[in-house]
Amino acid sequence: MEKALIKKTQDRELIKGFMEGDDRCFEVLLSRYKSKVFTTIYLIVKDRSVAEDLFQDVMIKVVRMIRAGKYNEEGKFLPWVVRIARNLAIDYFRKMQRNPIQHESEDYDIFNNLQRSEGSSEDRIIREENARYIRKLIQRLPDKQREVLIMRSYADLSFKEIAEITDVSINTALGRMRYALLNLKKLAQETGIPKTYAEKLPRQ
Amino acid sequence: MQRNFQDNDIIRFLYDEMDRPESDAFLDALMQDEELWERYEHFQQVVEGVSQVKEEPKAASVAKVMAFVAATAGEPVAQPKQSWPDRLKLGKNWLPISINLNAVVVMALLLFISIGVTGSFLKLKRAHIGKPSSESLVHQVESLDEPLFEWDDSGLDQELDDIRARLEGLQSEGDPIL
Repeated sequence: MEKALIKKTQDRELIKGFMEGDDRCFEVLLSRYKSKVFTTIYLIVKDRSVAEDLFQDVMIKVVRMIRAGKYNEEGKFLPWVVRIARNLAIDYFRKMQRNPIQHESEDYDIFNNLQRSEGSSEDRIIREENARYIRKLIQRLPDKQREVLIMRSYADLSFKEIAEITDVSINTALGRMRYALLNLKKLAQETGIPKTYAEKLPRQ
Repeated sequence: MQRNFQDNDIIRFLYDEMDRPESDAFLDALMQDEELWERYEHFQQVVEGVSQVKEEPKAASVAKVMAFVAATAGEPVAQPKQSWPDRLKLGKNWLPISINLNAVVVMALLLFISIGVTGSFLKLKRAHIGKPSSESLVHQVESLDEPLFEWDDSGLDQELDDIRARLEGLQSEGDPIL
C-alpha cells in the first residue's frame, strides 16, 4: 500500500480488509496506534517490561476478537483497544494484589531511549530528558487523575469517551483532568525542575 | 454579554473539544480577559509538556504480535455480531433479501388477524351445525318416514302411565277444575 493511501484509509476499512485476510491491514493499524496504546499501558502500569508484555497481550487479544467477529464499534478502534488495555492492566494489578512497584526495569533509561531515537542532536536529548522527567511526574499522580490524563493525552479519547469508560460524568472526567494538570505543575515545583524543563515553565 | 470561561473550558479548548462558535467565543474572551489568559497559559504549558511523553514498544514486541497474526492467518473469521434491528434492516447475513422491521411487524399482525378470523369462522360454523334452526328441523321431520325418537326409558313410561291413570280417576270423580 502506498503511504498516502495508508494515511487516508479509515480504521473501519482496515479492519474489514484484515477480516478478509489481508494481514497488512492489521500491520497498518498496529503501526498507527502502537505508540498511543503502549504509552497508555506504560503510564498505567509504570513498568516497561510489564508494559511490553501487556502490549503484546492486548494486541493479540485485539486480533482474536476481530477474528471472532467481536469487534462491532465501527470507527472507534482506538477507544476499543484502550478499553481492552485498561481492563488487562486492571487484571494485572489484581493478579499482583498490590500496587505496582515504582521502578524502572534495567533495560530502560535515557540511553536506551536514545538508542531508539532517529537522530542524536542536542534538541533530541533535551526532549527525551524532559519527557522522562514528565513521565515520572505523571506516575506520581493519584490513580484516577492519572487515568484521565493518560486516556486524553495519549490514547486520544474524548472526555465523553473517558466518562463512558470510567463510568463517571463528563464534568467529573474534566474535573479530574483539571486536578491532574494542576498537580503536575505543583509536583514539578516541589520536586525541583530540570533545567531543560524549567525553561519551558512560566516564570512565577 | 461575554461568557465567563472556567478552567474546564480552557481544558476543552486545549484538547480541541469545543465546536466552532464556542471556540471563537473563547478566543475573543482570551484576547480581552488578562486573568483568563494567565490561566490559559498555565494549563497550556503543562499540556504541552505532557504531550512530549511518547513511548514506543520495542520492535520485538511488535514483531511478536505480527508473528501471531501470520501464524493464525488461516483461521476462519466470524462475521461481526449485529443487533436484531440491524440484522432485520440489513438482512445480508441471514436472509438473501432485504426487509425492515416495520414490514415484519405488519406481516405478523396480518398473520394473527387472519388466524383469528379463520378461528372465529370455524367456531361459528361448528355452532351452526350443532344447533339447527327450527325451520330446518321441521323440514327434516317432514322428510323422514321413521320416528325421530325411540323411548327406551321404562321408568319414565311408568310415571307417565301413573299420571294418566290419576287424571282418568280425577275425571271420573268429577273434579271441578278438569
